[in-house]
Amino acid sequence: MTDVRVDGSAEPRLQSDGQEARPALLTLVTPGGAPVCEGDSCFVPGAEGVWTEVPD
Amino acid sequence: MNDSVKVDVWSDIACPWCYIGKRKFEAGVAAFASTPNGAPVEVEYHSFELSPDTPVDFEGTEAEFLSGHKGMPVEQAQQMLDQVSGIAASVGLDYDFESMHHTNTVKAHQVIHLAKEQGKQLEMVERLFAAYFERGEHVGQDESLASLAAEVGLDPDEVRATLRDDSQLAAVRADQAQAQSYGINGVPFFVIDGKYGVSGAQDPAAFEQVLTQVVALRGSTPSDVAEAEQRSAEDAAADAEATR
Repeated sequence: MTDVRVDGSAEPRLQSDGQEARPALLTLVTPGGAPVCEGDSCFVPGAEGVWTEVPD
Repeated sequence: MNDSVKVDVWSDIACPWCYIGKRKFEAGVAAFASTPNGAPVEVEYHSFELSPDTPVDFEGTEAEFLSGHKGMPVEQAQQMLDQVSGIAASVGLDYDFESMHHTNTVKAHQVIHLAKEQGKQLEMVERLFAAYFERGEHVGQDESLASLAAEVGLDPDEVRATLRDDSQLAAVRADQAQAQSYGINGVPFFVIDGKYGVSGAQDPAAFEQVLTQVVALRGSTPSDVAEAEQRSAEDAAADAEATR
């Protein structure tokens, strides 16, 4: 149901544009995203169709 | 170059990925520290309430709560919980959703701030995560929190007074305001050297690489780095266009 793998061999890269940019931070991202919880949902960003909702 | 690296972590005790992410982060820090360019890592936890309207007490299992909250069959909710438990087990955690007491975490966050004042924050965070996810202990009630805090060396009477008076609530709210100013919407979220953000329960290798990268970038400002990245992206796009 979910893909929670983050490719550890992938080089984290800097992303300074678009939705990942924070006002006071430069966000370091890894390809594929990583599991997070937002509000009452927990999921893997970018894993379209395989969101996993778990209790917060 | 071996100055310590500061990592500020936003998380919620009731966040399954935060505890899993904690273990992965710790493994990444250990790997980073063992490298030639490794440096000491100073960690500070910050409060983030995923669901502030959660009641202190809920009668029923976690699967039942999830079922009611999400409008899905209990069996489907249980399947999700089993899957998360399996992922937790892969990092050495023994999640027990059957015994879990679903609760509001604002008081637990106040206790974490009290512990921070006494140099015991990391022990308190670990004890609260274990209480919630592994040991079926309540992390929303004053008496339970006082008992858990006493285990890491806090005065239980001071914990009771803190919770009665909400004397650490302002600190919790300050953390939440800081998260908002950073644009943090989800947890776990890691801020390194106060400049660089990493979202989610990344794998240890990713944390190790990020820490290494941040140390290497010292001397550059985030805007320097962003501009270099932008130039690199533009060069790559131009190259792609030229070869078309």
